[in-house]
Amino acid sequence: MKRRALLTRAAVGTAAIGLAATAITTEKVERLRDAAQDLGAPIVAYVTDPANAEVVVMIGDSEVVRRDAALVARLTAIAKEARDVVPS
Amino acid sequence: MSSHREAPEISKDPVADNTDLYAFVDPNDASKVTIIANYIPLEEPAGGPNFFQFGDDVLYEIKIDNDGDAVEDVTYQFRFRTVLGNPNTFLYNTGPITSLTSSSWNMRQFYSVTRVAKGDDGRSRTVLGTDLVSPPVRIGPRSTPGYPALANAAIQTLAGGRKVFAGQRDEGFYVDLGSIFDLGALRPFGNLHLLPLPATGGKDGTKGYNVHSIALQVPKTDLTRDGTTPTDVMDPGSVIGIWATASRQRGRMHRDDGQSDTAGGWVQVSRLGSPLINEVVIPLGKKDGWNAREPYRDGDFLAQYQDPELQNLLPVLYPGVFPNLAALLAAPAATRTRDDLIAILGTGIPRGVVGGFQNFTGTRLADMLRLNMAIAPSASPNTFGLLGGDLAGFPNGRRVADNVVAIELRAIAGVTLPLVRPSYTADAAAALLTDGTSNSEGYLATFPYLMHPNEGYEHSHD
Repeated sequence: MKRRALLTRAAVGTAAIGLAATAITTEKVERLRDAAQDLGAPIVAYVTDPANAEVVVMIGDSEVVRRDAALVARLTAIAKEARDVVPS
Repeated sequence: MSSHREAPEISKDPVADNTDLYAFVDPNDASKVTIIANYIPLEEPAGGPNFFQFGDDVLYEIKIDNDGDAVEDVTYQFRFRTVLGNPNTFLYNTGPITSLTSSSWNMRQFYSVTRVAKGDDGRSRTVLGTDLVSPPVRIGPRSTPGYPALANAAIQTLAGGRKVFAGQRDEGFYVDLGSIFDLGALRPFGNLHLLPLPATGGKDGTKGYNVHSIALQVPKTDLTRDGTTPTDVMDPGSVIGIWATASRQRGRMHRDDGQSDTAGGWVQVSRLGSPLINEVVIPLGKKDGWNAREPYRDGDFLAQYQDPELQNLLPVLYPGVFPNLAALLAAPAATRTRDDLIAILGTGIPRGVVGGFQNFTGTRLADMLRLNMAIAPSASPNTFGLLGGDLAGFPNGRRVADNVVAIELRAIAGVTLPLVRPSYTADAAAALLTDGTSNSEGYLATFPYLMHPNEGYEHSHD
């Protein structure tokens, strides 16, 4: 129960999930994809407040902040799945 | 300590932990200013086989405000890169390191220096140096013989009359950690403490430990708002505010192969202007937030400067020793604000308070080390700085030997209050406060001024 409670809080409060650049539907996609290829670096999406639909997308030492309700909704749904995954 | 392990979060991240900041008109070339930013507290010299080094994943910065708004106008950025020569040995070195190109030196660190200047048309970046070598740590007579020459070879000359050094140094800051953190006791006054013990000399809690220093010497013209050399002490343009920071990228992902990836913008995790502010003035619940914010937002902490916790503790910890301070504290806090401490530590001292002196940067409260660059270096420095009548010392900048612990203790105990409240008479004991320590290792007479590090093979602690 404790583990479950912790995971629940984590899912509600913060979700930090790596995702493919193709999931982002903004005009920055091409630039991010190019940057990813240039840097060979992972892309990280950081959702601090799902209710605000704000996501920080990070690559290298750059980041952009986007308000994207659809993207945050998809990430939130995935986070709910992740919450129920038993850690190996 | 000055700013060693001063906040809960940064105490778990020593590589990014600002420990001390010094800034002074260079005594060997008064046309220049030397700034030293120290990181990584309490390095045990024998701490191998992975000895201390700067963080490749940390952005180290020295920031200068030259127009009084507590926002940086000039920034010097330092980035480090570690090169492992032979990954198939556990050794830092496979033989004596006799030069900075020695093939037996296995784990090297190089760095870059970039100057960022704010102008009317935005920020301009100038790379001052790349692939500059940081010297090895001081291991012992077999591994790092002739260390002073080895380290001195790592003093780099940069374009524009600048000089830089980044590497391990002796911890020049001295303080009796063991006693002060044992309920605020000062060994020389141990018999007067609420829980008395015999009075003794102080013990330097940092003796025998090292730090990692970034020392930068630049022309004054690099720092002033109009690019000129300050000559008028009373000219506001002669004063700069200085602070140092460490930043990490927002995200860090640990991989399954033991390595990690980082991503995102730089987030400040540590900062330091005047010594002991976050350490002593800022309460525990706000220390992490203080480390993350910019100096121009320090106004939120005005109450802590106006009525610092330590001044309220002194009459309790030393019953009967500070009767005048105790009487002052009996009045409502709003009627006895410590405007002297606000000036010394928060805004700079305005003209008219100390004859022939000012280092005022405006009324905005901000933690910066303020240096009036028009004041020449002292021919005979007094480690009590301004309190000792030496205008070239703390809180006018800070020299490596300045006794900032005693200066701030005395100021908080009321020694400087008569400057702004003439009716107040400081307690006699206030002017005598000291933790009884000094730095037995001494200092270098020339750049980078902090002594060569203690070696792992042979060193001692107090």
